[in-house]
Order: sequence, then C-alpha cells, then structure tokens
Amino acid sequence: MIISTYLPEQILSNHDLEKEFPEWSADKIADKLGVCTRHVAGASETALDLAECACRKLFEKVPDARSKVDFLLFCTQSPDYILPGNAHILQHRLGLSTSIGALDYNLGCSGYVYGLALAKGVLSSKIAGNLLLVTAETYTKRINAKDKGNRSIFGDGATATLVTAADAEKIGEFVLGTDGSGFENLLVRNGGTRNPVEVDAAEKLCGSGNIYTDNDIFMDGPAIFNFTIDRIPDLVNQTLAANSLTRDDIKLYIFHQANAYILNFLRKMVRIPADRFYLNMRSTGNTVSNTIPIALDDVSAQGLVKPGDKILLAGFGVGYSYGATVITI
Amino acid sequence: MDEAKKIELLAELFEVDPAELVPEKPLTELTWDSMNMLGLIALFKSEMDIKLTVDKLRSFKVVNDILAEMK
Repeated sequence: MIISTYLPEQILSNHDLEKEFPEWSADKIADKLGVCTRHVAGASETALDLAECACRKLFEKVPDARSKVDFLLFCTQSPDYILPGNAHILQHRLGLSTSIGALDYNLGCSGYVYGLALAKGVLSSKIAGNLLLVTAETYTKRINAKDKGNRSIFGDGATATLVTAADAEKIGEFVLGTDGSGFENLLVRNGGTRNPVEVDAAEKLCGSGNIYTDNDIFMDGPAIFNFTIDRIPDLVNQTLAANSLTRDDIKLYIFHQANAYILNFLRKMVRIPADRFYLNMRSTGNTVSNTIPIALDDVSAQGLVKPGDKILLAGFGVGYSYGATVITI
Repeated sequence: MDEAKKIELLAELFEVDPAELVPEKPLTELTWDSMNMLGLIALFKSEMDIKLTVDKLRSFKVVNDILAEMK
C-alpha cells in the first residue's frame, strides 16, 4: 500500500493554548497527552480540500494511479455538504474516471481499519482492482473555542492510500465491533435532522472548565477511556487469534493515536513492549481516522519495517466503533 | 491496601504532598481535571483491578470519597 499524508499549514502549539488558558500548562499537555502541536484547517479549508491535496501527493508518488483507480472510499465525519458525498466531488476534482465506484462512509477513529475491511472486500471480490482509500477530518471546526481539552487533543489532516488487489492479499483477518450504547459520549448533538443547529445554543460545562454547546463536539473522556479498557485488550487478543499469530509475531502495533496517556495504559494492559508500540502524535495530535495511515506513512518513511513484517492495526472511538486487523508489509 | 499506600498513590496522581490529602479536602482544591480523572480510572484498574464507572467517578467530591472506594 502506498500512503500520502497532507496536513494543513496552520499550527496550534501548546504554548498558544497556554496563552489562552493560563491554568493549562504547555508542558503538562505534552507530558499527559503526548501532543506538542497540531495542524488546524483554515477557515475556508475543508476535509475535501485536504483530501484532494493528499491524493495529489499520492499521484506524485505513483503517477499512473490516477488512471488506474477504479474505486474510491472516503472516510469523513466532516463532509462538505449534507449531500452529495465528498467522494463524488473528489472524483471530479481529481479527474478520475467516471466509471469508478465511489462513496463516503461516516466513521471516526476506527475508520481506517473499516476502510481496509471494505477495500479487501471490494478487491478480493474483483469489483475493482485499484482502490483509493481516503481519510479526511476537520474536527477542529466543531470544537468550541473555549474547550481547552478537545482543542489540546484534536488536529486536522487527510491521507490517501492506494490499495491494489495484490495489497489486499496482505491484509489479514478482521475483528470488528460496534456498541451504540456509547453514542452520546462522543457526539455533535445538533446539526443533523434530529436536532437543528441552535443559533444561540447554551454553553455547557464538561469536566473542569471545558466549555461547549450542543452545536460542538462533546467528548466524555473518562467514559471513552473505560470503553477502551473494556474492549481493546480483547480486540487485540481476538485479532491475533483470528490471524493465527502470537504477540511476538507482530513487528509493530499501531493503535489509533487517541492520546499518549490512554495508549500507554492500554499498551501495559495488553503487555506490548514499548519498542513495538508506535506513538507519533506529538506534531499532529489526534487526527481521528487519519492517525493510523499517518503512522503507517511515517513508519514507511523511516524504514522501520521490512517486507514480510506484520503490523497490527487497531482503531476505536466514536460510535462506539472498533476494529483491528494485521497487515503484512 | 493500607491507608498510607492509598494516600501515597493519590499524592502521586495529584502531584501534591501526601500531607495535603486530608479526608475532607474538596477535590476542587486539587487538580480535578479530565486527565486526572483518567489517571484515577487507570489507578483503580492497575492497582486494584476495579472498574471505576463514570457515575462513581463523578460522585466523588472530597478525598475521602475516593479513599472509601479503594480496596
């Protein structure tokens, strides 16, 4: 699989946050969350724009990809329009063939793993031969300016992954899960058909001093943490079993980069050695469905894996939704 | 777990002197933010194998509320 990443130019640093929230220490954010800077989309820059940039970078790496792509999957929870989907507009912007299949799907932090599952299905059934899997998010547009917690965690970005039929054979078995009982713990309540956007939405308090309205992203961090403790260790063990592998067979574990505190706790629970557990959110933050492909792109650029190595990917979050698989390099 | 160990663990979590953690001290006078809430969930799980529910977590008002749940 060939991956390209695009991050918007504007950067929000911990020191910027400390200036706005004097009670919030830049060092503490870095120590606890593992994030020093995050990229933020410009006012007129959308997930579709970021995605287009990521795809154009991919086409620079693989010049004939543009003509070969015959299926496009676009993972986002920040679509440009209620309808149509971003995938359709992206097909036109990139000049892809009009004979391709294209669709959006609405997933957050598990989105890349689910995208690989869909890609494997499409490719192994020969519906298509070269699939472009796009992830793009602009969560920061939905975070209240007074919500220091979520502003510290989340960043924007986009990735594009070219998955060929040969690549699909290197994608292993999946374990997927869904638990909608937790849907209210990571939610934008207003703006859909159930609750329209409120012009003067009331400010609410989340945790210690995080302000939001029902038009904004709300995240109950402790509830999400409990969800990960409950589900992720089993998810990893089930995925290893589904692929007839042991922990030692995995060269690298790449989890959704939620925040460093949660990840290190999960790593210890699952008993993964630190040198096999990839963390790379210091300069990007939690970019939702982008974190795993950004990590894969980094791993590849740094030459940390070689052909034949196995990487376990695990995504989890909003929904609740979770999933994992093993890919072979 | 004895009382001294409980206090030691909480002092480490809240980054304060153990002597500050008197039972009636309001959590609002400590750093009772989302990160320390995650830390307390982690502490209960790793030290006592207890799942600290969000409802229980949010019911804590003073240091003694936490101490009473530590086993």
